[in-house]
Amino acid sequence: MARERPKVITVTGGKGGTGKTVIASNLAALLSSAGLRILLIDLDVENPCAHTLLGASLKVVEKVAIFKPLIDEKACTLCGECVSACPVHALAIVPSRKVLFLEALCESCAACLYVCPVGAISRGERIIGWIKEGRARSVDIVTGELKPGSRQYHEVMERTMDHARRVWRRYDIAVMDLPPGAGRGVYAALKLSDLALMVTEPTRLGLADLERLHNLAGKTGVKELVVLNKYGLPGGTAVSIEEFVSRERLKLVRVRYDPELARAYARGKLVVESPQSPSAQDIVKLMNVVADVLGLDAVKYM
Amino acid sequence: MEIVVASGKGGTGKTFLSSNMAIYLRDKGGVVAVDADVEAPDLLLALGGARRVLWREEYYGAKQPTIDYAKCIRCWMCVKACEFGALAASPKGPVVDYDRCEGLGTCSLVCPVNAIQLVEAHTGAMYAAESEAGITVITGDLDLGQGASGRLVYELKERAYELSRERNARYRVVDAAPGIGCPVISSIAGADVLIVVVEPTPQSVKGAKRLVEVADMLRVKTLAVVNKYDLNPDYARSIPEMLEVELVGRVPYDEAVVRSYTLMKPLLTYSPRSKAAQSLLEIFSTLGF
Repeated sequence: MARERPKVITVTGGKGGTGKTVIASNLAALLSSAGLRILLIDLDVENPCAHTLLGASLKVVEKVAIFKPLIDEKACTLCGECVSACPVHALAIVPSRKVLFLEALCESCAACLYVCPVGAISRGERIIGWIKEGRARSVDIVTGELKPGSRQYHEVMERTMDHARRVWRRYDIAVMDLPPGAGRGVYAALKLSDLALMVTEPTRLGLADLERLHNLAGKTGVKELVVLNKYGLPGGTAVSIEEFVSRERLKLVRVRYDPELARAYARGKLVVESPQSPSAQDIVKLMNVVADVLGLDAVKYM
Repeated sequence: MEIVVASGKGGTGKTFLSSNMAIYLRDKGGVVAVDADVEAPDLLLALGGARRVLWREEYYGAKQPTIDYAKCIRCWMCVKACEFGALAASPKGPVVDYDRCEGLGTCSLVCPVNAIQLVEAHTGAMYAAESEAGITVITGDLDLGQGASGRLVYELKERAYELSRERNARYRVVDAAPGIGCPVISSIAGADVLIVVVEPTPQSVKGAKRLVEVADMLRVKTLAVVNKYDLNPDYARSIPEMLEVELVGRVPYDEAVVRSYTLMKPLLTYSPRSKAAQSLLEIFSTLGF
């Protein structure tokens, strides 16, 4: 049966280092071993790591390029129209000599291209990142990567989502691994999703960022499931997260604090390869809850 | 002096290091702290929460096109000119997708009938607060789902500079966002020194390498602190070489750190004799504060 799109699960969390990538990659591998066709989309474009845990190597399939002006100095009359049209002061005139382009300031709006009265500006391109693909453990991976020194992480995230959407109807489930934060890229991803796994940890900071994320998710209507990772962390405070979850009537799944998980992570491995470990058992439980929420009958036998 | 604490990957201990550094510097010439992680600001919490807010300023960091459909002639120039795909044609005229719009105004510029006006939009707030631990923290708080965080970070650093001059505070500590994107570049640009916080995992080192590359482009001096080094001591030892960055010190894993967060007290005040606090003190003295 032809379908428009897969079920989309977003793994997010507000705070950095709560375990988003660990949850996303382990969950993707589990769902795939349950016989589903899985696309893992790594949107943590500032430091994409999901493929390292799955053991995949990636190949560039698309450059992410944005506009930059190419100035034909011979044709340029130094009229200054482009300089006054540029909203971010990335163009300047060296008196009676030339127009200077300051690439670091350019935000690629192309206003200069439209105002030049003599056609001395043409379309050039600036690479700000790459979209890569790979495959491991029957999981197909699409990864966005920001080029170091480029600012436009939202643009790379959005283009990576665009790329993934062109192919994702071939899959049963798309799992999106998000960067920390609650900004524009996270919002765009939540809007595309059926279910948001909000991965947090039992700390005050984890709670503060979870609250922000929950408020953002509320604007999109996505289903929410809180994953309390590192449950039982010595010195931590799970109670305040549990209170928050019950106050907001959210669903909660706990993944126990587990040195085995940390070891697997540090070696670039999946913890579900050690099925006896507490965290692996909890991630299997998580998968079952996810299957339940999304109505995926196929994985129920696990 | 402006010290920026950053890491390519999230959750490696930026806020831990910056909050305690601020405590340490308070008595060494004075400090103003800046929370530049505007999508998830936590520094004030790590310093005990706000005792009193000194000022608050709304931030209008974006411009949004508004379309006068009575004037619009449906020529679609704006739709074609938008580099970000933020305008789409519809029967009544162009419709703006504000989540994709960068607010740069090319649409307005190319409109032949002047039907598009740019209006300033609220994207966040900045506020200064005195924390329970007695540190002045300037925090940026981006509206949920917003972009343009880099400009907000510039504003925060500007405010911190003014305040530190006013108070004769010798230091500014900037707690950056994770990653290497727009807000991080704004945090690092113009700083005197960048401290990269790394954990002994390949993912953290990978992120740190990307960050060091950015700092090199911006010509900012970079030093490294390895956090939780004892989780993988052999790997931790090879980090300075992998990053080609000078190491200022290592902090062991210590439950006291987690407890200090739970109690909302910086480690240096909560448990100054703990292993982690002792290594922090060593790091700060190595830095020559």
